[in-house]
Amino acid sequence: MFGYIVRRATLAIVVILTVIAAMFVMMHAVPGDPVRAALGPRASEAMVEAYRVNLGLDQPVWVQILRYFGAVLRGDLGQDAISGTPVLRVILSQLPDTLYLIAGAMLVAVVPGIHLGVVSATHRGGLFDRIGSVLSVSVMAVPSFVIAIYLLLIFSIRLGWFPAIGAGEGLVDKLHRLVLPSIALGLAWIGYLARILRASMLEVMAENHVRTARAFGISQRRIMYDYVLRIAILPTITVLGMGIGQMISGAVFAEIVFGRPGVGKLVYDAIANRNYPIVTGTVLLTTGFFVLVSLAADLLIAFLDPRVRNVISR
Amino acid sequence: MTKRPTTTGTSGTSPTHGFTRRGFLGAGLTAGAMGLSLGGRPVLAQASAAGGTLRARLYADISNLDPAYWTSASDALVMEALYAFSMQFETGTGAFEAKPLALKSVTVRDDTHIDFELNPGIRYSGDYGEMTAEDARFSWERIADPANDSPYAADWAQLDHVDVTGSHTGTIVLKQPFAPLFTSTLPATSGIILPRAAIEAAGGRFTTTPPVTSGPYRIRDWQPRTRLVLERNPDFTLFDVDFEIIELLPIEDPKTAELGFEAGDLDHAQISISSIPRYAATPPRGATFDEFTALNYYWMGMNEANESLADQRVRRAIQHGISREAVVEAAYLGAAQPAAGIIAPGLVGNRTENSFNYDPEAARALLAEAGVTGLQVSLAIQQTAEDLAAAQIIQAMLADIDITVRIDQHESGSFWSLGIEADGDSWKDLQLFLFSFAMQPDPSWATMWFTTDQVGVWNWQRFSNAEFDRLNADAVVEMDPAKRQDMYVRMQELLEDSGDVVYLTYEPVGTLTGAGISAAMRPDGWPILSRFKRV
Repeated sequence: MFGYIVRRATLAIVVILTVIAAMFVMMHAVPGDPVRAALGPRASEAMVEAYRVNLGLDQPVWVQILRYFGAVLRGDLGQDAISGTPVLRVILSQLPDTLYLIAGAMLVAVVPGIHLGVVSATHRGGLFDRIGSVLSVSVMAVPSFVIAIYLLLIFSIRLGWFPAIGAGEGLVDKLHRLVLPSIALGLAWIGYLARILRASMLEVMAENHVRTARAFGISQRRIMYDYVLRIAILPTITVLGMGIGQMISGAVFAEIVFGRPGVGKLVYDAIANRNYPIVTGTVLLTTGFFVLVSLAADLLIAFLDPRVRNVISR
Repeated sequence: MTKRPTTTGTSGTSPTHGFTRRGFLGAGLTAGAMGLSLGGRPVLAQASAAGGTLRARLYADISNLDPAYWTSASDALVMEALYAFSMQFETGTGAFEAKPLALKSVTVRDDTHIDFELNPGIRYSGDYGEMTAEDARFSWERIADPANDSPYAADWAQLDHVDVTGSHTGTIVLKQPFAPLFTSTLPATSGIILPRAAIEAAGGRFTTTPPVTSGPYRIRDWQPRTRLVLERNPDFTLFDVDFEIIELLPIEDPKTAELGFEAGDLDHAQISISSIPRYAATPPRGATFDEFTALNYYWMGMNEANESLADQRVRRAIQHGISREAVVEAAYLGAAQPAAGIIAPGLVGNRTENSFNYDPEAARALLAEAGVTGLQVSLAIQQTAEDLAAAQIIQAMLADIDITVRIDQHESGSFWSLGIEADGDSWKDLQLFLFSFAMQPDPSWATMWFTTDQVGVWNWQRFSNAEFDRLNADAVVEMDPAKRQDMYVRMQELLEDSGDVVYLTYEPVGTLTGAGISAAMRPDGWPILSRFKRV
């Protein structure tokens, strides 16, 4: 197992380095200048050039990449090109709100999604299964930002049940303001998870060990949760691991529509301003986060499935 | 207010197509709002500011609050609450009129000697004591000093030195007369006075953590990109302050701000241009909708260095081929008026008559005279609803005179480098472009971007005219308003005569203010939050 983790960690480092190098190349391939954004239009050309040199933007891209990697190894992600604030501090100030949002969206997605999937599978072809199928496809089909807008218009403006914008202060206020964006971001995943789990469960339910369990007279409920779901949930866990990456991307729209802080909007604005240090720093951290979540998902699968555990151990 | 070319409205993510996230969100929000409205239930009433807290929209988060190095409109808005400006513009009036604030009096002894006296008892935060004339000297000379590389050095371009004659008195000594001193220097951020000790303690400059403040409010809490909370400064006595707390939420998308206002999360917000007609017709119950004409000027530029546009007759034909009224109506939905220049109404230098108006027959004749047929040009725009609507009308009108226009949409980061020589060769391919610049209430801010030394920087037309350059330099040191008026009008004539521009409009500003609040707004729709009142 230790060897497996080392191999995955090595792969993760390669992934992160590749992503950062690609980011550098892409950022320098598009026109735009962080220096003019930082200094404003009234800065003289001499000031612009001096600042550009100060940021190292006068160097070839490959030199900038190597310098950046060197700085990262020293724990330095650079400084915000506009405000001069350390990038790590900027990102860490935004990260909690995005993590809360993703956690909220996961909660919205997982709890009903798994239950819907289980009930649909156990009532295959029945009324509940049919209704569940229609609902699943429906919530997947409606774009999340449309859901977000209507949630705002209905529950914030018309009914006044929830605030429309901001992240709030204090636990209760923060949770209150988290409800609508979490639903907007997580709703589509309910259907997605339900469909995957249903299909996976139906497959497992047809396997020999389940038939054997039934033959031994084990209760249907125990068969479902101890014999079927434990195996059928594995693809769902993999998808959830990948889904967190997608939710980080999806957080951008939620943060814009709901006027929330977060790393999604941070990087979105940074790209518009060509604020390279913020972009690379955020991508570095989110890529690292994504890689860690994927690793955690794989380890969880290994924990749940002895077959996988045996393969990894070998 | 930054001089940076504005990005009011939206910015997108893709440089080549017309679909943008924000644009789509905006359309969705509008459609959604209309859908709900059709349900017959009126929009909920705006909650009035409670508990002495004013909640307002900040266009973006703060990035630099140093008067010598600030960068954004949000910085300037917040600085007006944190520092006692030397002078401040009146609110609620139709004309720009600056009155002394930190300064008790300003006396023009002659064109190059301006005596000033500070109000006594203006206390700095911390242990920095009382504001003195020595502080004024330090602050103004700090911005002017080339060694400090302040982008705002031009605001004190004619400053020779400041004589300190007493603890609260002194004389501004200019090298030459300088008209913007009373319009865009002393009443703006460049007039802010800070103590030397505080700046030196901060290492010579600072960004988002001011080492000292002197204004009606001070920072209680700043959560980057989340909120900025200002609390009333009990030591401030220059005018009465109504709200104990001002809570500023950085919301870049005006559509989001509109929703926040309607949901009662904001007491004051600038709205999107496309929403102005809707809110003008039916503001949220209890709320006040106000409309202003900003100083921002909007025009279509033509790159005269581009081969297809090198012939002045072709550029003139394009001028005659465009109905400014139709473009402005399409882009601003009736909320703006066509312009005849780049200096807004209410300012010295405002021009009221265009030289070259819509005349498709004249346009066709000019193209024939130039021997041009089947001309194809590109029109570079940003990904805003206003730009796209204007571009489509321009495209249709120019098609009528046999000019084919390809609309190239760019996200803001790419757009603002198109004409800058230092950023590459894209300026050579630049042909037509829609531009919007913000400015301070002095005409010199409008014309300074069209001089020869701005070619390849912000003068993307590459317009170069010796008379224009001379007038631009002379008008800054001309103190007679009547003569300045003539000089700036002449400059706008020269610019239009070159064929390089089609003046379009001055952008409208719409604001919503909650019940029980009286907003303090400059004539251009700029809020002075510290002067908002409860009613």
